[in-house]
Amino acid sequence: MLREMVIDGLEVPDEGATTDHAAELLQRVAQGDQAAFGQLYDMLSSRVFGLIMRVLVDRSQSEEVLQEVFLDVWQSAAIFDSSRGQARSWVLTIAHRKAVDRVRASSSSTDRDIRAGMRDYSSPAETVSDQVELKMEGIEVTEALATLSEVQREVLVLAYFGGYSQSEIGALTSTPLGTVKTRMRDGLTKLRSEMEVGR
Amino acid sequence: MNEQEFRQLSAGHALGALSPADEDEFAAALAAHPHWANIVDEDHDTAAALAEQAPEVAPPAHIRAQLMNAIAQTGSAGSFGGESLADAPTQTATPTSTGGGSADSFGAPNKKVKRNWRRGMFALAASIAVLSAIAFGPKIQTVLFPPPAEVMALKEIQEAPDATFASTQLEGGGEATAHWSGEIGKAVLVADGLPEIDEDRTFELWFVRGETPLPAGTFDAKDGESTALLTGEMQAGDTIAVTIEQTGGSPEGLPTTDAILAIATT
Repeated sequence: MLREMVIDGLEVPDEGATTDHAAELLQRVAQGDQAAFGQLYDMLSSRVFGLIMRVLVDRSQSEEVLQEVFLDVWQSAAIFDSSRGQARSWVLTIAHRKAVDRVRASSSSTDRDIRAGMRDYSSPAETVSDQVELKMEGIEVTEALATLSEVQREVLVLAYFGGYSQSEIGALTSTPLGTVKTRMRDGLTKLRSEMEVGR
Repeated sequence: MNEQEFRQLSAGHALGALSPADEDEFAAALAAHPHWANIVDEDHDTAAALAEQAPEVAPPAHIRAQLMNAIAQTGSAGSFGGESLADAPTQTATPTSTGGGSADSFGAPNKKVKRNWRRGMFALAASIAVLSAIAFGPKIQTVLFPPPAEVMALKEIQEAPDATFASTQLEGGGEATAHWSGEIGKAVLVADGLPEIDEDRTFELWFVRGETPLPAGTFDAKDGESTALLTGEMQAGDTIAVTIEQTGGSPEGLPTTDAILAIATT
């Protein structure tokens, strides 16, 4: 198996993130380095846009949110703290939050139905076969997801990709709110430990 | 709140699935227990790994060009002084401002930055949608629903270069954490598990400077929880203390009971 993977156009060693290239770029962005911002955009924009598209589905809204995300990165780079996590996660967290905010702001129930209809990817096997081009980390998380119970996977997927709140998930799945909360915690914990094993 | 309850909130937070009320509870608990920040960081990292499951999609090229144009117009990011104009996860060295939640959209940019930003906005006129989304997004919300003074102060403290906190256990199982910055001279106390007190009593805050207690305002707790901004200028080395006094605070301006908690700010 290949031990060197090309992730987002950058060759990075497979053995964990000993060097966080995105973090180095973010530090330069914090100093107002526009070229570094361009490099960061080139490194992460496809990943970020893919996430936003998955949550929002609507392409033109996704393009707007993508711009918001990177403008926010430009403004906020100085508050990124590399001792507390990876730069890539930081940017994806911003992107996810903005995408979910947009979903919540969208009052159209048809949007939600469309999204729900397109969200039949809770089966991990299907996801793998559909997306053979998935990069290393994607496969890792997909394998980790496969180890969760069906109900744990369901709450994670509905929340993260569907943008549903815990109470909405309770209503959608006819599950008490307390159970949804427990499944979410247990699911995330299992996901983390499985991904650590995979490393 | 115990750690297990907090872990549950943290998972919901990382997945963006908390109700606004739970989100507030999450932020308050994190302020009261800053050492739980590592739980939040881990959960954010795990949730972000989920993003890798979505296939990459290359955005259209014109977006890059618009962004590069916009940032060129808005001047350097450094000129923002590290303050967030929007609601980026404020992953600063301070514990409570991790990730999302209502507490991170309170960055108060100075006037100059605002002007720079506005100038940059016009450069984006070609993209009306972006213009409206940013100009009328989080800021309007902040104007219409300004956060309480203690939340603003907490945010201000956490963004100060010398931001520090210290916690102490309360008799009966509660915990109180003081957050302060000597540089900006402010301190905020976040507590849960405060004792129940009679209706004609209140909690009074003190800066104990050397041997002298200086009154720093009163506060009430709801379900034993409270976030309170100490009034008056805080000085490095002060001890922050709380006593139980009659409603309105001790009339003599001196504590009449023993302190229920004391936190030194060395």
